[in-house]
Amino acid sequence: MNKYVINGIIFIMCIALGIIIPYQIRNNIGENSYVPLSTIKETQAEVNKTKSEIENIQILINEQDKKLDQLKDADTKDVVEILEKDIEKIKNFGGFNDLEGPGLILTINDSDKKFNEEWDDSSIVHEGDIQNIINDLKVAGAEAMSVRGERLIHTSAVQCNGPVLRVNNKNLPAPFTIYAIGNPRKLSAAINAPGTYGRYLKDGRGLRVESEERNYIVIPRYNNSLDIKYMQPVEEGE
Amino acid sequence: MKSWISKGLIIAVCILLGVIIAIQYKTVNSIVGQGFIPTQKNRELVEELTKLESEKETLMNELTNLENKVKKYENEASQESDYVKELSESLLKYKMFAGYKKVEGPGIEIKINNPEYNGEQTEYTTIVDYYSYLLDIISYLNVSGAEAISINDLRYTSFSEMTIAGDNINFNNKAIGVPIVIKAIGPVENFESTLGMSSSPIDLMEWYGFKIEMTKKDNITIPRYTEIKEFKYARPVSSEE
Repeated sequence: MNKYVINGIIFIMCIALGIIIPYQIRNNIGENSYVPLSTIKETQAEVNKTKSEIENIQILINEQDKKLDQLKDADTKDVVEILEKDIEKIKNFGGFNDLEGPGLILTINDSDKKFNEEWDDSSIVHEGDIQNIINDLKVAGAEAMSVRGERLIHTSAVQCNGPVLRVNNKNLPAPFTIYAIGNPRKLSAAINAPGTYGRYLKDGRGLRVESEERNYIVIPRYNNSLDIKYMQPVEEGE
Repeated sequence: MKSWISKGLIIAVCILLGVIIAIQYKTVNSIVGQGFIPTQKNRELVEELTKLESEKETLMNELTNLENKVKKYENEASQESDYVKELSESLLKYKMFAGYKKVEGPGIEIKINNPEYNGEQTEYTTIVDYYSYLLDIISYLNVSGAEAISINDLRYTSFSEMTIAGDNINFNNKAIGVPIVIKAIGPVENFESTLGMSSSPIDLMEWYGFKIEMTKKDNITIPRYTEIKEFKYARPVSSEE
């Protein structure tokens, strides 16, 4: 009799503890909702992104501060010099100047298979292929690129146009010679290492892909006209 | 004999409970951080994010203030010299084109969300596996005459690249998450026509289940490129004077 009573009491007490403890914890937290862990990762990513943007803006502010100091005592001749230097700098980044440096020359050509029953269009070069190769080269630090002498800037889109690719409003036939300025070894690895898109084009699709590291290549400037029809600068104030 | 069995059972259950609780605790801790509960952590992160965004706002204002002051000096010099005026305008044009100036204009906004997970799929489809379609969309926008493009308010420039980093897409060296918002300034009818075409990247992505909204807007603002760029290998070709 005693043993059952004691066991019964312990049993009831355990249940009571099991109810009270979670209730207490919930009260301490306040909110009952459980935030999915993926949201937390996304918010963390946003936080990191904003932090790095803030650092960059800080650097730009320092540059402008210095420039303001220069301008304060400047006369017209100095202003001209400062403006001309700024223009050259932006032209270098924007692709409007010829650039030279070490880099990689890459040639991509269709496979030389002739048409037969098994032929499908995977053995020719598509615009998506060039697009992915260009992206890979950028990730590997390419600072300037051209396809068959056409400088690639942010508005250069590589488009399929029947037997040719259309870049910067010009029709370019195969073979597609791509010049890229950067660290020659890193660029070469981005195309030739196992697992890269360049390797897949060679081994998986049978396209002819050849690359050559160079100490010195020259990439021409973007030479289409600069027409601005839709965008306006935003004059920001205090 | 019986008491040994029952004691053994109790010990086994306790060990199991202990292991389960420890694993659960560790999993949550590794994502959320020591001693935090997800709701709390999220609230703190959101607060930090709001603080950082307002700090970024203030810094951007300070930057444009400085630039306006610089502009004023340049303008004074322009009054005295037509050549300076020409240079100023030229500089502005190159800046807008290359992405170093905030711009606005008519254009289109494309919002992309991951497909909804229906319980029958074995794998969860996310934009991370299909990021080359984002590059295709940009290509279509450029061919249709886009003058400025941004993804999640990061300006697209000649140096912008896209990679996968863990569970996220990295663009301009920063992780971007869904919804992916692509904004473009340019001829809206052309955008709608090329992107609305059958088998356009948008069409293909919708087939895979992505939720895509395209809205045309009379005024879209696209921010400037905020990365600091230094050439390490390329240099301008020195011309012999």
